[in-house]
Amino acid sequence: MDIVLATFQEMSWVTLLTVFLGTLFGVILGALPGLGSIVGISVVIPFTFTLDSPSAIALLLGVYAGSIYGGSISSVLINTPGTPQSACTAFEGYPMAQQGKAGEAIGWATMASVLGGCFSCLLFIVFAPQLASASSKFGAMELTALVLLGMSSICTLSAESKIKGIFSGLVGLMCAIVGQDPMTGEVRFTFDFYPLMSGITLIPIVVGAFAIAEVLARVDAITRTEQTNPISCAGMVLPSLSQLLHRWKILLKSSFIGVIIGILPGAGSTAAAFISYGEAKRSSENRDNFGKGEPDGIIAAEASNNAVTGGALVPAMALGLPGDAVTAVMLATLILHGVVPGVRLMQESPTIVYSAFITLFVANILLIPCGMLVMRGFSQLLRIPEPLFLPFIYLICLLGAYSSRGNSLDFYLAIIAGAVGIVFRYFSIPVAPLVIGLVLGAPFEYSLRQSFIVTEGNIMGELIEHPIAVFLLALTVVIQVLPWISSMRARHRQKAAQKQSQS
Amino acid sequence: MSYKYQEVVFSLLMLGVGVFLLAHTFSDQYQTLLSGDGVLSPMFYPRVILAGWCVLSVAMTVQALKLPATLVKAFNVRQVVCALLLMVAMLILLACFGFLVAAIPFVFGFALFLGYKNKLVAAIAAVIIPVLLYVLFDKGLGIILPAGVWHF
Repeated sequence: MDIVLATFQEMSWVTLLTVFLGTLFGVILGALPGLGSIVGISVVIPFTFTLDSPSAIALLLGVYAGSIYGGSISSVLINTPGTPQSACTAFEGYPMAQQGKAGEAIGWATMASVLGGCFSCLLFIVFAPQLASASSKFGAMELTALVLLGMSSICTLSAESKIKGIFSGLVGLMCAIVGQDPMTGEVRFTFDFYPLMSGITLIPIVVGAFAIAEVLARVDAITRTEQTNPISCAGMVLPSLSQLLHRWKILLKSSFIGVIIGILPGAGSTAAAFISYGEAKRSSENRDNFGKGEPDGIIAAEASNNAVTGGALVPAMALGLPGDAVTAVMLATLILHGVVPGVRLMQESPTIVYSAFITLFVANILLIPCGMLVMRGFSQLLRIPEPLFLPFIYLICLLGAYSSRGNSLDFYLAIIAGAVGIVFRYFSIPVAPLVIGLVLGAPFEYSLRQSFIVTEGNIMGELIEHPIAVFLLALTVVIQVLPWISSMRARHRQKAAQKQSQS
Repeated sequence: MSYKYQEVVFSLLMLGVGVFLLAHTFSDQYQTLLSGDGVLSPMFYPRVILAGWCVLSVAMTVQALKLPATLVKAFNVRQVVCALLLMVAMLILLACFGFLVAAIPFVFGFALFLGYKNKLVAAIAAVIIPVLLYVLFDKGLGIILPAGVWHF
């Protein structure tokens, strides 16, 4: 605790200003569809060379936290997730905006992001060494079980039609297979089309399946002269303390999910958001309201995706293992500044680690003023007539899809995903499971095959020696079976009551 | 065609795609020295996924056949397809002439296609929007946009 207080006292005004500017820039980028953390961090890297180490870390973390939150603004206002992590926020936020509650929706998203992010920072300030040690206990079998638990949320997200939802998940899993096999290097399902060798990445698919599909859906509505409620937003309406306390369970659970997923290398905030949303849909008291503008859904997605930011720092700084492309770029920048992440960093330079968490804590608090500023600017865009606004959105989506790797193939992938998205919408096939399949498909296959190799094909026999994996598998089964048992019991009770009333 | 038969056709199409991809996994290009046997083969996992795909496509077909024949969904297929074609045309122009030259006629044409009456405002917006995006991405964020073969 003395180290924490000393670190806090050493923060200069330059560091505080840098974290504010980084957060603001991150929120703006996050609100633009297709852009996000990786583009934001790549852009600010040159600026870090003019700053000292604490300020450089502050800039990177500000952009990181801001960009993850920023996607919720476009999700709510124009039903176009700014980042893949915010896709679930659109499911509840946009219906709220259509009911004239855009300010409340963004208020819920903001507070959930702030509280989720701050929770993970506080947890890691206290438990960083223990959590780093826990993340190193996760081997292939544990990761397989965890990813399977994540994929089981596909069933929860497709409650209306499980067959169609699981089918959508399988389409996502197939998209994740296209390209080079990570183990043998063999090229799969490219049909000799060279650009597909690098595989199908997440951003063009999310931008296409959600944003471009939304543009096409609006074209359909406009050309059928369908009356829609125009979205307007006077300002952010933050929830009151009593409203927040009323939903403390879902806040806490979602933050925990984000923290757990964050400390595991390979998982990311997109997976955390979808898993948390699926769990909230399963367990919330207001589950019947999901899809119609339920704040619980927004809280679940935003709290978990921002809680990942703190979690992702643990394997990155304590073990030197980047969890995703964003933390990999951040680690590279830290090394350029003479900070060498790894096991010894915690022992030799603990102030650097705690400085990072405190900076991230401050960045999460700054999401409130930065969100208010960006939202005001973004809501002015809603005044543009729709026939001019839709091509603008389409162009931003295309450029956002292109910016992730500068590959022209991503233009076409985004359009194809848009066409698939609108077709899926027409046939009531949920798109969220497709994204889950695409996000979790590669780590699932990789860890599953690793498990087979490590156990020499005898996975079931060796399972008993991996209690964490057994626990996660049992949890997956219980989560899927419990609702089914509850509904059978409810039906049985209803039949018994009917018989009694007839007799 | 009623919605019921549209969904049956779509489900059968998905089944056809699934069968085609599953058959593809047994093609000669995957029978190499690198391929392991059984569960270690790079094709084991895709075959499991595609088998599930085919089974679920059949289930979706059966589900669709149970729908009432009178069910109708309002959807302007022609307009949505036209919008998609406009988007694809823009991509073709982009490959030849670069982002700026492709985006300007696209914004103008799309606005008129959606029924915007004021051609002057549409023309002004068609210039401002692509230029703003070009400045933001190419100059501001340093993301070099396609310039086409003529380097616009």
